[in-house]
Order: sequence, then C-alpha cells, then structure tokens
Amino acid sequence: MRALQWVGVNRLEVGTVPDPAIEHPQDVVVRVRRTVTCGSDLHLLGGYIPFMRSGDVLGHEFVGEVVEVGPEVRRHAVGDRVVVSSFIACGRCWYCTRELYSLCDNGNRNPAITETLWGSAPGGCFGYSHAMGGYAGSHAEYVRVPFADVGAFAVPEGVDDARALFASDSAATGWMGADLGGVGPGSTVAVWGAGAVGQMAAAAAVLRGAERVVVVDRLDDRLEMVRTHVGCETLHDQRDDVGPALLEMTAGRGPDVCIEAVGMEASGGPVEDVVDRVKQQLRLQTDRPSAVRRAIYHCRKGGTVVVLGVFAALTDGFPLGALMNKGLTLRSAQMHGQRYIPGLLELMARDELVTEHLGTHVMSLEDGPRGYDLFKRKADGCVRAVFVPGGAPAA
Amino acid sequence: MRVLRTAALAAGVAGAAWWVRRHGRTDDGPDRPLAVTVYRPYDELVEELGRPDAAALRCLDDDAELELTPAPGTFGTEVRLRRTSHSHGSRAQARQGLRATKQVLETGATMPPDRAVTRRPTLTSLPLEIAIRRAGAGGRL
Repeated sequence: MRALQWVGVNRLEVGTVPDPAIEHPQDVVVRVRRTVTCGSDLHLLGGYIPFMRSGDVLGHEFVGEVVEVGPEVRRHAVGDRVVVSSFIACGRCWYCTRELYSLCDNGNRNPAITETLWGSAPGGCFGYSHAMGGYAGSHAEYVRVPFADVGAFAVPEGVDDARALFASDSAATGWMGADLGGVGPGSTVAVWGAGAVGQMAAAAAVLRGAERVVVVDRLDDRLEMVRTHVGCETLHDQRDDVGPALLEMTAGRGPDVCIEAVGMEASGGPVEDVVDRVKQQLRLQTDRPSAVRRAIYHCRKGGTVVVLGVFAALTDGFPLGALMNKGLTLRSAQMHGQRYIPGLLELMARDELVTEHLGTHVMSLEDGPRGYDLFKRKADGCVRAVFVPGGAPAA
Repeated sequence: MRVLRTAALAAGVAGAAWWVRRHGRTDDGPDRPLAVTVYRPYDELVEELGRPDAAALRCLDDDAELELTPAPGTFGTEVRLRRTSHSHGSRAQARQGLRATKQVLETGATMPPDRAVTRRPTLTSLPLEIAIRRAGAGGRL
C-alpha cells in the first residue's frame, strides 16, 4: 500500500509499505478515507522528538472504513465507517476504567523509552514515534487499529468524513481542555493558539456555556476563522496589548481558565524567542514554552491553566513563582479521546460543532510532502492539510 | 551553530553512555523484586495464577517466584517477581516477561509490534535502534 513516511529530519516521502494485518484478536484493519496533519507531527518532522525511524508512517487523526475484523471484536463489522482515537488504549487497566485513556498501561509497547524520559509510560499513539509505541500511522491506505472496541467509533450517518475526521484528535483535545479547566456557565476563558486544537478548545468553552471566550494568536486568517466559525472574541498576539486587554475584559481579575494550545515550538517576544531558540538548538532545553508562560502569567489568582500543546521533555524559564504564588491549578494530558469522541459525534450530528473548515487543504496522499510543507509554513492560509488516500483533487 | 550543536550532541551521547554504564551495573542484581500492579481482584488472580496452565505464566521463566498482595485502594493486585541466584534469564528478560504477564492478565493477550518498514538504516540511527531494541525490556520497573 502507499503511505507517507518520515525518512529523516524535515524529509518526507510517499512510498510503498506492507499492508497491515490483524495481529491481535482485538484489532480491526481500517481503510483510511481521510487523514490529517497535526501540529504535533511537526515536532517529529523537525527531529525534536528523536524517536522516529527512517520509514515510519506518520499520522494519527483519521476516519475510515473497517475492512477486516479480529475474532474478539464485538462492536464493529466490515463496512462500518469509523473515527478512531489517536491514542491507543486497552479499556481494561486502572487508568482506562477511570477514562484516563491516554495513560493506558497496555497501549505503549515501548515503555522503557518514556519511563526513562518521564518516569512512567503513557499509552500508545498512531504514527507518533517509537516512544509512543511505534505504531504505524494513518497517512496510508490502510491502518491496523488495536483494541478497536475501545478506540474506534461508528460515525453517525448524517456526519460526513470532512467533519468526523476532527473528532479523532483535535476536537477531542480541545474539549478535554475545557473539561480539565472546569469551564462552565460564568467562566471567562482565554485560549493561546488558533490552530485546530485551539479553535476546538474555544468552541468547547462556548458550547459548555462560558461567559466570555477569547483566542490569542498572531495569524490574521486564523483569528478571522475563529470569529466566523467559533463565534468568540480574538486578540492579536503582536498588535494587541494582550495583558491589559484581558484585564479589561475581566475587570482586573484575569481569565478564570487559560488554555495553552501551541506546544513546544511556540514563538514569544523577540528577545525571549531568540533565547529559547538558541537553547533549543543547543539542546539545553527541548521545548519553547512561551505560550505556557503567558497562560500562567495572565491567569487570574486561583485559576486553572490547561496545557494542551505537546511538549517533549525539559524547558527553561518556567514561571513556577507565578504558578505557586497565584495559587494556580495546572492541568494537562495527552488526549483521552475515548472519553470524548461519542459526545463530540453527537454534537456534530446536531450541527452544534462544526469542524470541516479546519481542513483548509484537501489533497491526495501522494501530495503529502507538499501538504506538510504548506502546513509547516502556515502558507496559503493552511490550518490543516487533509489527505485522501487513493486520490483526491490536488488542492 | 552547527559545531556547537555537534559538540552538545556529543556531550549528550557521552553523558548518556556514562549514565547507562553506571546504572547498568546494578541492573542484574537479584535483590530488588520487579513489581507491577494488575487491575484485577486479588482473589481472582490467586486462583488464575495458581493454575499451572495459566496463559499469563507463559510469559515468565519456569523458576520465577511470584508474590501477590492486594494493592491499596482500587488498584487491584500487586504482583512481585523475585529472582533468585538460580534464575536463568536476565533481569531485563524478567522485566519484559512481567510486563507481558500484566498485559495478558488485563487484556487477554500481548500487543505485537507492527511490521518494521525501515528504509535507511544509518550510523546516526544506531542509538535509536538500540533504544528501540531495549524499549520493551528496559525502563524503571
């Protein structure tokens, strides 16, 4: 089958790889109908998460059709259209039974890498390096889905692929941000980052009844998209005076919940940016956390900061003093998709949650390298590049 | 910048090699038991692992000594594997076996890897290959 492979730092190629097969009785094999780039892939692409082997297939956010079913699979049959959680979880360990699916004890086949890095191993993830289990990714014609009864969800008839696709990861991650932050009626929420996850976090806050939601970014086209499709306020990270604006919005308190949706390659102020980039290039730190710094700094006393962006290991300049002295709660997780996807599909079926605008560039899988190039450079208004295996009109 | 990056990388690799050597020495000691917590009730596990044909036991050496205790709260059962001076395999093999045992007890089977599709093995990818090879058997367990 054809697949988009990581072949080296900042180098992708479409090649031919073996078809997947049922390897475990709880597997299904899915024919991928749509699969999409994610900002966290860029950390792999750029070598910031150095656990990719040349030839590994990228991609973790996808929708497809079941074509083969393992003997112990009960909830799915051949022909089902399914959206699949990017995180792989067994559904039976202590963490899964508490709906902390991305912490699954049995999803990651390579626990030593992350145990050494982080002290213990989270679950596995499709196409997200050997540190996260070494599973083949979804930027391919077919993908094996382990623990399919737990991680794959039938897509309601009225929800098309273009919309359902984002339930797989970005919408679930965004919803988790609002959930972890305890967002509800009366909350004031600030979100850093207007990519797909940031937009979905803002949409979740709106749907959960937040009083006021504002998204901060420096790309005008994305801020426009937020105003149009999410219907909340925006601030430009460079042109607006973000701190005073947030204080004015909240009569001096600051937002109750600050959600960071940028990750380890964030850009800050000019000096901060240079210092962070030099340290990262010298491997004195792995992550550039400028959006986390802002979220902590601007959050109201006693508020909650939620980190949704992906970070690899170590960072300098973490404002522990502000966190401690302001009595903030810091929450974070990789995405517990299995907890949120069913509810998100219902919202999508009722047209309360729209996502298809996020897929700004739809193209054939064969155009994958070009799609990632557009996505990485945020060129041509690219928010997400969507790949259709087997061919789609070139964007 | 490239020279600095290379120097930093070399220093990192040397540091990692020192760390692995230093910590690797204690790895084969038989004293400290290896332990996992299995999310199954204690009584159920005692019964299941008491059967000589239990599937989960196939992941372990014949001479492995298992000790089961109820875990605090809702965590299930603590399973400790004690290696003796007569144990055949290495501590790393025992660790991998114990992890597989937990997986079988919780999910019914072990999760096999996807087929490798490596296109270009290179000298610089060697440390990663070593890390991946040890990724199931190493770690902090």
